[in-house]
Parts: sequence; structure tokens; C-alpha cells
Amino acid sequence: MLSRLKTALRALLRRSQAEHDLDEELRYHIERQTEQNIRLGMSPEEARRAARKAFGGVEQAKERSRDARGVRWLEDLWQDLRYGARMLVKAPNITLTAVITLALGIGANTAIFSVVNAVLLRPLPFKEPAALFTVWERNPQVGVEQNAVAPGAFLDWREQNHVFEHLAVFETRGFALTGEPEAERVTGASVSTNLFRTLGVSPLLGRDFVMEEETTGHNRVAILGHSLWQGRFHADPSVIGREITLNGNPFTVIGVMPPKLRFPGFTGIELGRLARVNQPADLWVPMLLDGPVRSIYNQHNWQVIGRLKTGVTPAQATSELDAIQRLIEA
Amino acid sequence: MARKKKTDMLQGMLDLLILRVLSQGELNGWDVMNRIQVVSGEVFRVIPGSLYPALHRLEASGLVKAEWGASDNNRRAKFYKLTAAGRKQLDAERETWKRFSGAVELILRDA
Repeated sequence: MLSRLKTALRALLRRSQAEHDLDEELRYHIERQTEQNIRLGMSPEEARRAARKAFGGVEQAKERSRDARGVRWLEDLWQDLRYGARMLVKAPNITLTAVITLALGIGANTAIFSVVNAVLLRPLPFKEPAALFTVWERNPQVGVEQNAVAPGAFLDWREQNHVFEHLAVFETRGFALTGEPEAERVTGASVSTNLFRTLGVSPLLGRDFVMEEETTGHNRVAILGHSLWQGRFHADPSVIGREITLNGNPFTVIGVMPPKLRFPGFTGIELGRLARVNQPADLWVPMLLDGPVRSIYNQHNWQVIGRLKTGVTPAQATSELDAIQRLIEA
Repeated sequence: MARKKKTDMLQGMLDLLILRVLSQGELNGWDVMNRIQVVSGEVFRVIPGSLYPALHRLEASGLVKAEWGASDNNRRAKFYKLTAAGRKQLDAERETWKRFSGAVELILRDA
């Protein structure tokens, strides 16, 4: 009896130590997230709230499981993961035809990432999706077969090619959206102003970006995703022309996109909990494409998507971009 | 059965990426999360609710080892590093992944 009691007591102590460690580990994470939010322009209070929110249901899950087995919440999360993974597994077949990688040259391991990205194109509200391609850089000499694209290379391609009807760039990112009713972290993308024309979609409300908005002094405009508009802005059409604060800077809302547009969402996979893979983009802002970025050829951060002109084959497009690329490297 | 395999593969991908970023040195959970996001060009996002279960599972299976240490400005943080077994697992998983992605690439190119 006594020994059983001892064993139970030891188990309890071990568990409370494990629980304590877990708390401390997660608290550290939330602190770091809070600090990052503050750097993005949130007030300390807002930053803490948003950090806890970003943590998802973990806190609640932990709460629920405190009196259950110590690691029960971990198992719950793995259940979520399994569910989400199944959702993702179903998706690729449908989307494979929509966007294929047009690697410059032929790469060894080029497919995976673009396939995963393409999940975001569901349910394909785009005009002639078969003409849409993602484009990557490659550098076989250093073993890089599929690389994100450098700003300078993208601009050269866009200005000099004759094979794409449109060639656009995007970079997914998070924003701190502050002001009434509360600060929140939203996901979206910086994009070249021709992204929506490339995809073949038009705003539901307001207008699309214009070319000039890629330039310094004109780029503080934003287009809202449908769900953000419906949620935070109560589907109010008078949101057009209103000022919002992103990462501490004022932006004017110029448009709202239709509900089906998710692109690029938070691109690809939320590793682990894949169920949210279809999370649509909340908003889009123009990239600044004049000035110093023009001469950046060694930072590969951007994703490029293009719409081929009718009758142009991927092989022809590849060889033309290769030729432009050779001029860059010369 | 086939479905279970595929699910495992996607779980394995998170494990693989975690092992990979830890192969360059010990990191706390926050840094693992950010490293994966940044290195993948923001293609992958890892949420804490998936990251920590994965780290703890890797720890329980002996592929990573965790130690408490001081982080920036002297806060206590839990640092993870690869064990020898973890390193071996990383090499094996990397091979599997290469074969998998290479096969998909072949089909996309030629089928």
C-alpha cells in the first residue's frame, strides 16, 4: 500500500514537473511572439492578445487536459494533424493541372513546392488556368534546382520577355492590422500591381492596382480579401477610400476582391495542422519595384507567376527567359 | 492502409524539416518555427500547436535532446539539439524525400 502510494506520488510529481516545463516553454514562445508584434507596431496589450491568439487552441486544449493525462492535449493536436493531412492529400490531383513549374531549364526536384502552392488556387476562379505557370530560378552549378526569384531578375524578365501576356510577382507576409475594433495579425501578400490581371480576376468592389502604385510615394494602397471585408468591416461598401493601419503605416483601401479568390493565401502548408491550408489571403499591397530592388540579383525571396500568351509553349518560354538570364549573368 | 501511409508522409515532412534546422545547431522552439518559415521562403508556416507536439515527440523517441538554457536577455528557454540517432534519421529521411520528389518530378516532366 505504502509503496503504491509512493509510486503514485512520484508519478504525480513527475507530471507536475513536466507540466511546469511545458508552461514555461510555451510562455517563452508567447513572449517572443509578443515582442515581434510590438516591433510590427502593436501596443503591448494588443501584442499580447494577438500572440495568444496566434497560439491557436493550445491554451484551451491544455486547460481541458490538466486533470487528464499529462500529454492528452498533444494527442489531440496530432488528431487535428492527421485530419488536416488527409485534406491536403486529397487536393493535389485536382490542382496539378492548374499550375506547373516552369523551371528555367530542367530541374531535379522542382515539382513539390509548386504542387503544394497550387492547393491555394482552388477552387480555380481564374480565367484559363492552364496558361498559368510559376517560374523559378535555378543554379545547377551550386546544386540549386528551384530557387525563389531575385527582384532584379524578375524585373528584367518582365520588361524583356515576349512570351508572357503578364508576369507577376508576390511574396506572402503577415501584417499587424491595428486600430478599431482591435489589433489583429492578418496574412496577405506584397504583389506586383499586375498580379490580379495575371490571374484574370477583377475586384468585386473598387478598383485594381495600377502600375504607378509600384513606385515610391504611391504604394500605400491596399485591396481587401472578401472574408476580411465581411468580418472586420461588416461588408461595408464605404470601406473604399478609408484609411487602415498596417505595420504602423497608413494605407488607403482601394478595392475588395471576390470571395473565391484565395491566392496566394498563406502559401502552401501550415506544417502540422494542415487543415487551415485553404486560409485565404486577407489583403494585398503593392510591392515597391522602383529604386534599389532593381539591382538586387542575389536575394531570392519572390515567387513569380505568369500567364503565357496564346500559342506559346512552356519550352519556348523557358528558352526566352534563359536568354534574358544569360544577359544578366554576363 | 494507403491513406495512412500518405498521412505519415506529411507528418514525416514536419519532422524532417525540424531535424534539418536542428542539424546546424541547437535552437529553441521559437527559432525552429521561424527558421522553417524563413528558409522555405514563407511557403511553410508552422504553428506552435503543431510544432511543440512534434518537438516533444522527437524528444520522446530520442531523435532530439532538450536542455534548459539561457536565451537572449537571459530568459530561460528550452533548447533542442540533434542526437546521433537524430542525425542518422535525418540522413535516411533526406534520402527518402529525394527519391520521392525525384519520382514526382519525373512523372511531371515526362508522363
